[in-house]
Amino acid sequence: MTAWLAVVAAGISVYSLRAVLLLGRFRTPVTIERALVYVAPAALAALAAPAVLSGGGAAVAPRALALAAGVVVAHRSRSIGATVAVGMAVLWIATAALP
Amino acid sequence: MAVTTTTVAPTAAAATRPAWMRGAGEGMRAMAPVLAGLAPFGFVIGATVATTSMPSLAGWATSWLIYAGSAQLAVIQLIDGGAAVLVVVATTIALNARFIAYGAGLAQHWRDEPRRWRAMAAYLLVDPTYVLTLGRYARPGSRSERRAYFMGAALTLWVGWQVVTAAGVLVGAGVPDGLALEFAAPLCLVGLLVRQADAGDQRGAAAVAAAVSLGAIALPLQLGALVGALAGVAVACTLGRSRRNGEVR
Repeated sequence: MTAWLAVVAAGISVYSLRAVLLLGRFRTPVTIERALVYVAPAALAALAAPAVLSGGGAAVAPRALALAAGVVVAHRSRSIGATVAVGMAVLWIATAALP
Repeated sequence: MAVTTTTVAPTAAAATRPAWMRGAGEGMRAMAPVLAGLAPFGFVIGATVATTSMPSLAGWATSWLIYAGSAQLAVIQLIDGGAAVLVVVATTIALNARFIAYGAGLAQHWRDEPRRWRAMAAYLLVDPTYVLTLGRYARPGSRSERRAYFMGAALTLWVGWQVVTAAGVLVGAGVPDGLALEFAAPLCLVGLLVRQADAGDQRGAAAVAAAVSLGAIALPLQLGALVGALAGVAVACTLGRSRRNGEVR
């Protein structure tokens, strides 16, 4: 029940972000507009980084290696598919190889 | 009167199909390769639902209730981690605050469209749709052709997204635990992050956010990610401001 409530609340908030300037007649202040550029990269990094430490399955070192490999591949290829494929491969190999 | 007939006639003769149909077809063809590239991401989102305690249907419903990949992943992970609803909403807003700017970018082109149409278009607005549509408005074309281009592109992505996330939910449950499939989610976020952060200061914001979120991992209700994101934005804004002041002096 809480899950549904959270999903619906998140959905309403995302729709509001999309609609506020399409349906309303507001202008965003310049300060906010400048900050918007940083918000998505910061939020994505803050969500991805803790995966190195938390969650079951693999140990910390393979996770850190896999995430680092993901950053390199993402930078080179700019493809999400390649990032996931190489990152997972590194995770499996490192988990098997490291003591 | 004669002028109007001569300008309209060749266009009508050149295109056997109406303008909106041409526009929609063009939009669908433009979006198809993008959808192919994003399909693994959608699949991982669905598969992540299967690795969490979240009900499958609620997990898949993020695809049509939220319809924004990174926010869907975040919501699924946060709910599984026992986050408060307020934290889920705040993180969702932080992840998608850029949509405000997308709305601003298209509002100028859609000023004359009916309010109901804009309300529908807002629901379909995501990164690739925005980029393609803005590019289409930079090229010549009639109002109905460009409008149809948006709808063709946006609906192609929307339908495809529902299908690939559903496939992830259905197939993901059968993946053995030893494969650590849940790790594909942060890898997707990294892929998205690197594509969005081209400027050095954006990467700086990301680095600060990552470090702070790791340091704040012990915070309850999954607040660490939110604290990290805010820290990254705050540092980048402060540095940006002092740099701008330096340029002025």
